[in-house]
Amino acid sequence: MSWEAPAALWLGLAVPAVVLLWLLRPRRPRQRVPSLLLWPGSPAERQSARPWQRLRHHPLLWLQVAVAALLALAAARPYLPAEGASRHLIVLLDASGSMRARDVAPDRFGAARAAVLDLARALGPDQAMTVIRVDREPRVLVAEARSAGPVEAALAGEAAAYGPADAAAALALAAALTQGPAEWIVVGDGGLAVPEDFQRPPGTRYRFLAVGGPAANVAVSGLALRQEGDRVTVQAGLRSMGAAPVAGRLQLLAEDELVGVQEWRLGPAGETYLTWSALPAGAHWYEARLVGVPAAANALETDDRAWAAVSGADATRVLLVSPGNTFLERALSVHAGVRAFRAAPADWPGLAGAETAYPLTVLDRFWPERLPRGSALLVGPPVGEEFRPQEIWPRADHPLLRYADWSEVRVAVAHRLPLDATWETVVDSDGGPLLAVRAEGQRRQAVLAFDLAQSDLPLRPAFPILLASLLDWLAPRDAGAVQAVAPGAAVAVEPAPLAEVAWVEGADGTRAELAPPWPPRPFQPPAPGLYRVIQAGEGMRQERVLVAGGYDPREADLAPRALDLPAAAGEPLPAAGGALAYWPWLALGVVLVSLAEWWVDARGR
Amino acid sequence: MAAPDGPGAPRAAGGPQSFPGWPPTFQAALERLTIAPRRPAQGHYAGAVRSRRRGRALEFAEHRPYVPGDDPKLVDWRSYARLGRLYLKQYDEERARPLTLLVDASASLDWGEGAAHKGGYARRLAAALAWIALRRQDPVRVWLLRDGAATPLPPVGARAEVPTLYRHLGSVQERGGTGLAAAVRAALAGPTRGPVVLLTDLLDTDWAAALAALAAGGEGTVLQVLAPDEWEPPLGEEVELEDAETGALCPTRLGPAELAAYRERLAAFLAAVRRECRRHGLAYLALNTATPLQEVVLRQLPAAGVLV
Repeated sequence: MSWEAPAALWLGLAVPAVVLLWLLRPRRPRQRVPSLLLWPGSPAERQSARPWQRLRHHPLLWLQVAVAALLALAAARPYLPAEGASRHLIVLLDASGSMRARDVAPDRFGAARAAVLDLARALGPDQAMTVIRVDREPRVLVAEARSAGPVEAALAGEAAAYGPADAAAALALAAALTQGPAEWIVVGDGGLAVPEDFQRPPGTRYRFLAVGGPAANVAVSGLALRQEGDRVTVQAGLRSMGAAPVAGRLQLLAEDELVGVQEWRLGPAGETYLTWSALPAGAHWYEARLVGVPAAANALETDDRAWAAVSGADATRVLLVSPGNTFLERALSVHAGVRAFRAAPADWPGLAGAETAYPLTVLDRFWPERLPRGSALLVGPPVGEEFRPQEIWPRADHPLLRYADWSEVRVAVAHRLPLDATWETVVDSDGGPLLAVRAEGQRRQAVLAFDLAQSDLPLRPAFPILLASLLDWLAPRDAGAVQAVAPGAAVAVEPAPLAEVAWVEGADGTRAELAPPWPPRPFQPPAPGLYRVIQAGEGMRQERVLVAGGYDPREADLAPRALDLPAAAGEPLPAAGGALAYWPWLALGVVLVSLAEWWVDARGR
Repeated sequence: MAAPDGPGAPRAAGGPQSFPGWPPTFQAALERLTIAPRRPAQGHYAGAVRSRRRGRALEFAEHRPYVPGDDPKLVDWRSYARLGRLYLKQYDEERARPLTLLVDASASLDWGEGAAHKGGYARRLAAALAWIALRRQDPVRVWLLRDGAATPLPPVGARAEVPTLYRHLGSVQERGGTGLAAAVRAALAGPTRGPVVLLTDLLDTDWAAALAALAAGGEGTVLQVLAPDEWEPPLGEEVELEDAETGALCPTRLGPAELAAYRERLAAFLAAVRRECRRHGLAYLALNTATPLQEVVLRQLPAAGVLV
């Protein structure tokens, strides 16, 4: 037995105090009588004039001692750390992708949810339940519910996720919620990836409620394509996690149009690859779909489809407006993902109308009347008074200067540019900023305040690194690329220059707005599938393809596994809030004994 | 002599020979009463009560043959002339029956208010008995019992001496312990003839021994005097009772349960006293000092055979 407030045990001194009061002779009014011969009482007491008396075995004495002792015990708030029936139930509900398996009705998650509700309905009067949903981003569904109602309401709209779960985060959350003797209950199929060194808090009990049983599954483990000229080759991977041979067909669809079907047969835990060669190019995306597989051999549907998209990631078009700069031209030519076009400053007025064709414009020693509407890098603009920087102060923590060493860089002449407060200085000097950047909506600008010929920067290793960082920042390179993500994972969408709206379209035509407001909010693919992130503006449209695959090796394996969470050694945590203690029963005892004392006292009067 | 400052101190009474506290007509009513003889008188002096002693009195009893040594003056010469043998005439002598009054003067008698004061009540009763006895020229001897000793008051042989007795009785102040058995033995140590009346509350641990000593002294009567509060103590709160004689303390609560227990003990005590008196041949009467003295003397004592 442990105590929540052991200091209250000092109240136990009330017990000897009560005995002392009974030992002390009570101060009563004295009344003279002719003789005590006829009055009851022990002669010893009669003869005693001392301030104390012999302890009498009176029921009131023992009742008062019992009240004092019970009060002290109740104030100390005792509790049973582990063996007691009262405890905080912390339920970790597995909501990972494997819980969508339909080997049990309606699926494993539904069975797990029913098991949690059974636990909630069996809550005792002094028990509380907290339910943690264990998926990619674990969260508390309901905290310290004392009845089944809140638990049922919290679980009503829940469904299993599609991908793996972050078990470590969920266990950390459960540990943070464990403030006293508690019982952890994991409800799931045991497919959670628990860190090897994890230990649950000392004093906590643990149960694992397994849902689901041995189940077979066939998954499309991957889909890849390669485009060669006007021909496309598509290859799909198949994997069986069953203990019995299984056969079926795999359909290949090009933008919802069936372009091929192949039959396949797999042995126990078998794996194979199916290839479609020389498919005509033109489709932007392909889908492989399993059909004809017996339900008993394929309990999980979420990994029966896979998608692949033709990469539309063209090199970023960069317009270099320069009278001629070897350093810049060479740096732009070697930068991956950049396709540079050069123009003379004199040609700029003619190009100004078509500048939207270039997400990025580099202006070398040229300061136009109106800056480009897209992103721009200005190098040595001939504006402002000249100065000779003696000391250069780069901001070492700025991401644009990562891996770029400015310690040896010297600048002979720079221009003190008329930069307003919207500009952020990245490299400063005793004469003024040498490198500054600013972002206005989707438009980004950077300016080097000196001519590269007036500095040894192009000769330093820092120059290509700095230029690559600037180009990546000014024109993000992922535009148009195909990105594979996990369902439910947050995908950051970099705003494209000149974009005014951004949205996501699913393969089924669903649309979700991402911006405005800018910057776009992250996108979380709700389910496996193919999604297009589209940013559009005046005269521009940029698409980025997201493929959310439904296959995960751990989630596809539906074999039942026991999940053990070893406990750390040590003293149990103290109880919190008294919800798990049994001091209320002691308090009730105090009341009952007090009533008995009153009754005995009234009966004696 | 102690200063007359007790509850029974002399106060203005009905007449010069009236005891303080007597009702006005009480003394006259006493004239009709006599101490009931429970055995023939054995006093040394001639009195109004016929004794078993044969002698020269007026009332003829019997004849007996003359034996040498008899007083020749008692020879019945008429019988000799008629019968030719010597006979002596025997007469019942009327001798005095001295009354011994043993009055408890311990502190336990100092209880009660006004006329119900136990000590004063006992002394008024003793004065009445003395007055009754003196009407028949029976001498009266009063002993004050206290602390195991018996203190005699001046003997009284005639009513002319009553004021002295009453003055002494009226000035008694109850105090000290009882030691009842020892005090009774001390009072009855000498030859006792006539009735002995013990006026006490018997609230003494050796009361039974006192009764035995009284029985050994002759025709005894026990008049147990208890105050109304001793018959029926009032309800109260928690108190600490203090023994008037010993100073001993007894914490108790004057609740119904405690008073019921007291009444049980009192009844048992009175029953034991009554049983013990019967065993010793003692007349016994338990008196409540709330009862008017007239009622006791004129009705209860005659009814109990103490007076006639």
